[in-house]
Formats: sequence, structure tokens, C-alpha cells
Amino acid sequence: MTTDALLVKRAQRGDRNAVDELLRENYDIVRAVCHRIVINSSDAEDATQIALMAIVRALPSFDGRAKFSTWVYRIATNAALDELRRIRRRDIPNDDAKFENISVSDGTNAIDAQMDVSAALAQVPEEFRVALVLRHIADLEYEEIAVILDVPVGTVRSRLSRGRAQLTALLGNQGDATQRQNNDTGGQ
Amino acid sequence: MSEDNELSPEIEAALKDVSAVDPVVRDQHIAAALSEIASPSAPNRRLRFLSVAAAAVVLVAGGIAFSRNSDDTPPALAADTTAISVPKASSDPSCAEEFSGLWDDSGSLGAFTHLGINYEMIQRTGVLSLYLSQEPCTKIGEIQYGEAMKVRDKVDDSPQQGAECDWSSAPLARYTDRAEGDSYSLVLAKTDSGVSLFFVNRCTESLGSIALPAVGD
Repeated sequence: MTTDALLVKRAQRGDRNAVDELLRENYDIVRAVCHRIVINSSDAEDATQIALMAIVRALPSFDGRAKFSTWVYRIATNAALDELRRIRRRDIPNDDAKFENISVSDGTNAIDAQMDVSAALAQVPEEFRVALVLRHIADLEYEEIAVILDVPVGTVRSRLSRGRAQLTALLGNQGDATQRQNNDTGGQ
Repeated sequence: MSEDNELSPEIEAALKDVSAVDPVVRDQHIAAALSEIASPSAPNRRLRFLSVAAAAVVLVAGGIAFSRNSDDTPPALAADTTAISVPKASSDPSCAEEFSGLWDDSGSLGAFTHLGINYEMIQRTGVLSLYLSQEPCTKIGEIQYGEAMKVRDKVDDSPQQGAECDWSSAPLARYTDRAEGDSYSLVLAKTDSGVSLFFVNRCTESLGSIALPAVGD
């Protein structure tokens, strides 16, 4: 049994230190998933909190069939998507609107680059954005993303292809994006 | 499975480069999440509180006995001493511990953080209260739903038509309460302006809400 698996077992038995360690190990990635899906920073922090609480509540039901990290990403994704639904119901402009007219910088400055990618992500449709986040932030395989989103692998491939093309185009590398999109659509 | 149509390394690195987390916020998030496993140990905390309270009573009783043996101390003063709120004297800032001595059926449903403020949910039969989780505990609102449970006892309890209740990630707390011998599953969920309480299979009919301060909005 791996160290992580032992840690999960200890956590499932109610070992508070083990739960704490698991949460700290996964905190950055849970937060990154929430931030990149929700975009708005304060709402993303709320989603992060809800995701962590949901992880603790659901720990006893984790059966080990999936990797623990995949299970965590699924919960984080659900929390982020739920937060997006709440934002929509709130019926006030969120940060997406703020990003619509932000010009793209040359990307040489780290903060500029971060703002750029947030602004660009905000303009990528949600279903493409979620796929991009799970693939490129959580480093999940297509099959794992398909399970989390409950869609066929082909749909994941399509969403990623279109999401990458849009994101790359928004960030200024339109030539690369077009080339990748052509490759992707040609391969299906 | 390997896929050859990846993002450029620069864009992928920028995607992963989420702004640095404030360690205080991270610790608050983790502490609130850990409170989800605190409930089973509530009896221990309550026991600890009761032992503190018992010690206080012994001291007060000793004081009363001493004062009654003294001609200089009027009985009324001893009576006033016994009225000192023992829970308030607790050194533990936990709201659950502070109130567990007042109602046998009370208990913490856990805590959560909203806009950097920690809240604790305290429940007793038919009442859910929300406190600022700080010293001293400060109540910011309560939802009284005892009557709703009694009314519910007399109506159709089938799931609400046309409303799919998906609490997979929304609830801040999920618990069971009782009225007139029947059990009811309840969910406290975050809403746009605060928190709302629902029967678990009636997600469009709120039993009541508590607004959260809009600090930081």
C-alpha cells in the first residue's frame, strides 16, 4: 500500500492529522481548479472552501476505485461548477465582463501573463474551460476527465481541442491555434 | 493515454500559475474543513466543559458555605455569585462548547468561512443558529423550523415534483432533527446572500434564511 493510500486510510478512520495532511497536500491544486473554472477570485475562494469541506464529508465514502487525486478533482470541479451556477443566479456581472476588453500584453511579465490567461479563460465557454483545467492543471488523462464530466472520451477530446484553439487564439498565437485545430479535427 | 495536441508550455505554465495563497486564508480553509470531522467528538468537548462547570460549581458552593458561615456577608451576595454564567467563563472559544451546557440537545454542525469570516452552526431541536466563530461567540441569526416539521408531518412527504435536489457540493451542513417522534433530514446551503435551510427533498422551499455580512463585497 502506498504512503498516500495509508494516509487516506488513516484519514478515513478519523485521524485528524491525516485529514489535515491530505488537505494540505491537495490544497493548491483544489484552489487552482476552482480559480481557473470560477475566474472571479473571491467566488473561487468560496468554492475552494466548499470543496475542502465536501472532501472531508465524503472521505468515508471514498472506495479507492479511482485515484484519490482524481476523486479530489471531481469534488473540486463540482464545487466550482456549483459556484458558477450561484453566480449566474445572482444575476450581476461577474469578472468575466471585466475581462472582455482587456488587451493582451506581450506576456513577458508574470503578473501580466497571469491576468492574460485569466482574461482569456473567462472568454472560453465553460464546458471547454472545465476540460482545459482538468487536463492542463490537474494533469488528468482523457479517460479520467470523461468519468468526471460524465461524457464520452471523444467529447473530451473535442472540447479540449476547441478550448485549446480558443485559448491560444485569445492569447495571441493564432497561427499555432489554427494549426492545432486543423490537426485535431483531421484526426477524428 | 498520450495525446499529441497539447498547449504550448508557456500557456500551460501560465494556467497553473494561480496567484499565491495567503497562508492565513489557507489555514482558515483547512480549519473549517477539519471542523467537519469535529462533530463526533462533541460529546468529549461537552464532557470537558461539564467538568469545568462542575469545578466551578464546587468553588461556588464552597463560597456559599463560607459566606453563610460569615456574619458579614449577606446571603443575597452568595446568590448573585451562583448566577455568574459559567459558559461565558470557558476559555475555549468554541461556540458549541459555550452553549452545550445550556441545552442538552444542542450541538455544533461544524463551521465554514465566508469572505474571510468564520461562522459556526449550532443546532438544537427545531432551531438552527449561526454564530461568528470568535471570542465571545456572537449570534448573527437563527432559523426556527420546529413548527415546519410538525406541519410537514401532516402533509405528503414525497419528493417535490419537478425539482431535482442535488446537494452534492452545495450543503454547509446536512443533519437530522426530530419532531413528534418523526425524523427529518435537513440541509443548510449557501445562497447568494447568506445561508438557507431546506428539507433534503424540498430544495425550492426554504424553511428560513440568515443573511451573511457583505464584508469585502
